[in-house]
Amino acid sequence: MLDIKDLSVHFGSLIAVNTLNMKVSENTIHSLIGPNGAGKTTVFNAIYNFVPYTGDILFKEKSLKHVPTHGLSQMGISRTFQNLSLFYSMTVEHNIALGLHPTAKSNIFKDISGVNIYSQKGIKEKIKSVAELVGLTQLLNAYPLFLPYGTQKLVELARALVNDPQLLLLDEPAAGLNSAEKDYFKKILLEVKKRGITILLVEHDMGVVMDISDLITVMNFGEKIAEGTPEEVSENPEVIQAYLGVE
Amino acid sequence: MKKITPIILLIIALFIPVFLRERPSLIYYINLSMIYAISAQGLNLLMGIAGQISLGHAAFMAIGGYTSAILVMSFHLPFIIALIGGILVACAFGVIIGFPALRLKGFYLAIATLALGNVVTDIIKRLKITGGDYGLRNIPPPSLFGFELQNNLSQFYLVLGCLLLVIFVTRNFIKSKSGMALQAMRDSETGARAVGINISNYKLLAFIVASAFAGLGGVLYAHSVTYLHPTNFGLGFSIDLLAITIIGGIGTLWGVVLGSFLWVLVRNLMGTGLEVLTGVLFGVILILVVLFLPRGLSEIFFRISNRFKSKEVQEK
Ligand SMILES: Nc1ncnc2c1ncn2[C@@H]1O[C@H](COP(=O)(O)OP(=O)(O)O)[C@@H](O)[C@H]1O
Ligand SMILES: [Mg+2]
Repeated sequence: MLDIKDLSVHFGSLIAVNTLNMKVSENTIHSLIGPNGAGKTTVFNAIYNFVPYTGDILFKEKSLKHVPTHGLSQMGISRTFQNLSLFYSMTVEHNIALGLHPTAKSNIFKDISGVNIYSQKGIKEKIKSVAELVGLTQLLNAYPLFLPYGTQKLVELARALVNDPQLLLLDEPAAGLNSAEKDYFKKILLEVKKRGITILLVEHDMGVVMDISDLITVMNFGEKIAEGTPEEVSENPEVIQAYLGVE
Repeated sequence: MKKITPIILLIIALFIPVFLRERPSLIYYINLSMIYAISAQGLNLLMGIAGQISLGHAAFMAIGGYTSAILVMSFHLPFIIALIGGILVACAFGVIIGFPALRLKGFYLAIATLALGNVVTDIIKRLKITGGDYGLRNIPPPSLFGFELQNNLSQFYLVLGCLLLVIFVTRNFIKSKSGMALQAMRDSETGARAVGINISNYKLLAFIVASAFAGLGGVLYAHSVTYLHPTNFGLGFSIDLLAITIIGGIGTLWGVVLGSFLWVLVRNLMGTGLEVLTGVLFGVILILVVLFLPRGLSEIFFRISNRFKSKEVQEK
């Protein structure tokens, strides 16, 4: 589904990602792990064309190299951020609604005549069903700034899910969550997978990663050092030394 | 309560000229205030909703005003065509000033818009058709359906109509798909791009809408003041429009109206001997508002209406 080929990202003299190759297969939870600064977020940012890169990234055989960031959602790719990027002046409902921006049709006449497309019935129902999936039904009218950090992360997850993506990129979704919230998050991700959505998960929390991943790619200093099932990876000496050993 | 208030205010507004029959000059100042409010509403959308900044907003009033005046005076077109022409040309320049915004932010964008505003007034000063440094004089009053709106009173209704239209459009726009996209962009550009918002298009849209409002304000200004000079639309006036927006309450719907009336009041109605102090006084008001009323003068009204609301709740 996602095919990363010889991906390299340089920041000046720093090589953040070095000829990375990896394939994410359809309907799996594929985790990308590695110590801080390994280049995981940079991989996401390359997919989103936030940073220039060499090599190529294919989504369903189509190169993303010249797809502008705002075009990805309509192709079926969504993401969350390590540092939240919510719309804090808006309610939870409107935050989620904006995930539908590419599909919600409007025009200049609707824009100035007072048609509020995000309150149309079909759209409201979509928002409601995603809110139910992540457990935000009671909080649709709240402002995210006043919600606990873990709940804010759910808002971002809902915003990424509402447009029915095929591929979901999650950047450290469990960071900052307590263990009950982590369990809840795991359940949601498994449910998301059940609905046919492929997940590329960057995560620090080994408990979460080992429990739900189908495949794990391990990065260190911008390079792939191992790949395999949770069992294989956790037994790989290089991984233990580079990553698990550091902890 | 919420539904009736605007209707009552509208009725009062419609009768203002009747109360002020004996003081036509006051009506002139009211018209001026509303014209500033129309222009400032554009800046309000640009800054309060889209999170951009412009220090060249007055230049768009100039573009609208000059275009319309020239279309009427040199091309003898009817006012209504000139009005639309003025807005369209202002929009076109809005695209031009919007382009730096695609790359620049904050301070740098402020400087770029300032420079572009200067270029506009500079060109106006050099062209022949704009009257150059002499300015354009004797611009004919607006006319609609064959009626010339000669006096301040008739112009009052035209300007009021335009102001209400602008506020109505703004209100709808803020809630629309485009308005929501602009607010998303203001809150988090990264987040907005990730959900599929084409930032470049929406930034340009923000500048176009802002320019349209400024252009409309400029057209009305030209035909009611009847005199245009490029220096009237320089940096000083752009900053005044900025102050009007901030004092009234940035991002609010009616703030610019409050800010504009206050500005015209301070500017024009202080005793003649105190003119030098107007800038100082306005500056002090600006500082006080920024310090104590972050949402501008509108905040006072929010507080009052909230008090009413909580009373209503208690009585239930
Ligand atoms: N925009 C940037 N400019 C310069 N250096 C960056 C930028 N983004 C990331 N880096 C650097 O690239 C390396 C990889 O960062 P990142 O991908 O965020 O790591 P991870 O997500 O694995 O913790 C780090 O050394 C980081 O400092
Ligand atoms: Mg990271």
